[in-house]
Amino acid sequence: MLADILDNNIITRLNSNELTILNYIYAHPKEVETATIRQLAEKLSCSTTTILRFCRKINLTGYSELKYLIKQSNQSSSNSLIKPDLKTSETLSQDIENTLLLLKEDSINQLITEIDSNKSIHLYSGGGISGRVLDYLEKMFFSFSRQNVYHYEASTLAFHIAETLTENDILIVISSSGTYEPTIKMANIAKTHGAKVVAITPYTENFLAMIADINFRFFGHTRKNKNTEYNSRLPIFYIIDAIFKAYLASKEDI
Amino acid sequence: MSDFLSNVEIVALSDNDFKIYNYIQDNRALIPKLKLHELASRLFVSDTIIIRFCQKIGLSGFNELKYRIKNELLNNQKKQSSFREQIDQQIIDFQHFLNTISMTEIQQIIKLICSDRPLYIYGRSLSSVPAKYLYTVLNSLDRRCILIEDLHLIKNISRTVQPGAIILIMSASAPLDVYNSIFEASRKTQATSILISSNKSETIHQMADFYLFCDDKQVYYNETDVNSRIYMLTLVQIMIELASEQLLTSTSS
Repeated sequence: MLADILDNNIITRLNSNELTILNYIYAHPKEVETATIRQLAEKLSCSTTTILRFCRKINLTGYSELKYLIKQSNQSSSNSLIKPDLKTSETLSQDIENTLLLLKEDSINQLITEIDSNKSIHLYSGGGISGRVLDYLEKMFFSFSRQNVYHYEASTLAFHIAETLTENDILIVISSSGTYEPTIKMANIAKTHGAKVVAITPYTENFLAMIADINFRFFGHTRKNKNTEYNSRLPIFYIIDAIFKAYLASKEDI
Repeated sequence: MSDFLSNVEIVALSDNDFKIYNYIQDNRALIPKLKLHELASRLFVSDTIIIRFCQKIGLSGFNELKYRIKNELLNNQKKQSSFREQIDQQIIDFQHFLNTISMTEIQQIIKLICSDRPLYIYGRSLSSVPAKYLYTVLNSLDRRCILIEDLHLIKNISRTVQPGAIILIMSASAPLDVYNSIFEASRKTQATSILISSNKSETIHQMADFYLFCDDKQVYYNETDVNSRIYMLTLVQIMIELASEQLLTSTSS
């Protein structure tokens, strides 16, 4: 739905208030479908003008167009009856679909050019569950006979390596929040040394996406179990899958 | 965007040439439809200047310029539509896969995963990714489990494990000759075996106590397995979603 009209440029242009609106709309599509602009403004404790400005910023003519879009996507999602009839699998498929629709060909092509170059690729996420996604990325690179791929888990080692990066290096970082301090630090060091930074981060406002050269954004919900999180990484797996599918296609063309 | 135009050395161009260059860059879609004279009059220059410009950037003449631009436009179009097709296909495949999942089978497996029996999760090469992912998330959800990435080790464990343990095996191809011994051994030790695989053969389904099918296609690149395991990962995520509800409610109560 919204993913059709949003891309990284638009998302980064939104300020934190507008991102809250986007967040709310994304999480409560049913509510927004029936709410008037005033009701929505009250819910978000902002003015109606802010919402209007938000609509304009995401290239819509106004609030009615937003409502129309949401209504349409609500209808289409209720039409496609998903069998594991749980709200979890509904949100799951919504996240995947929107993430895939948000993928821009330009970013994928840029990344493919980098993969085809002989630069070294460095992977960092600070371990944890995102580290498992990087395992996947690393294994896929090797399986596609892309060598010179280095994966770091320990932060101290990674920072040490980051100091030695040059413009002949690419750093790929993944953060399920986009705000994990060590990952931001890593990206910053790499950038000051001239390396290219590729970031896979959520669609919400985050610093990593602002400094990265190539961005991939995904939709998802944060979930916590006491001190640890278990946000779904499935949308990121799908991004990686899409990248390598495109990569395979680009090789078959030749 | 347009490759041969962006490769032109702009520094070497005169002011006039640069104007032509810019005009062509900005109106790429138009150029193949124009005649030489039409382009020249739009730019208020003579035909010869255009031809000389073409030669300067390494082309034989205006016709080659038209031909090159037309080709590039076509290629771009093809690329773009094929990428959108790829994404659409991915979404359709994903929806289709969700619809084929057997929920009764999954619920039974979830019950096992949420029990307090010892749980071993096995996967090697690319299948170790979903295995490791499940292992890490389950641990984050306070469900202790053990990750095995070595075939010999899992064979050994299936022979010596205590009764009631659960062995979850993830393998895309799941060749019968490799995994048969594990299933047989786990039956003897009274362990419960679960297989997640994209192997369609009936024999292997009956070998394991529980079986989940994931529709990943075998893909090879330079004779290396590059099967994305994306549906195996999707299954794992669904299992996580369902298990997390149970695991977290049981700990809070």
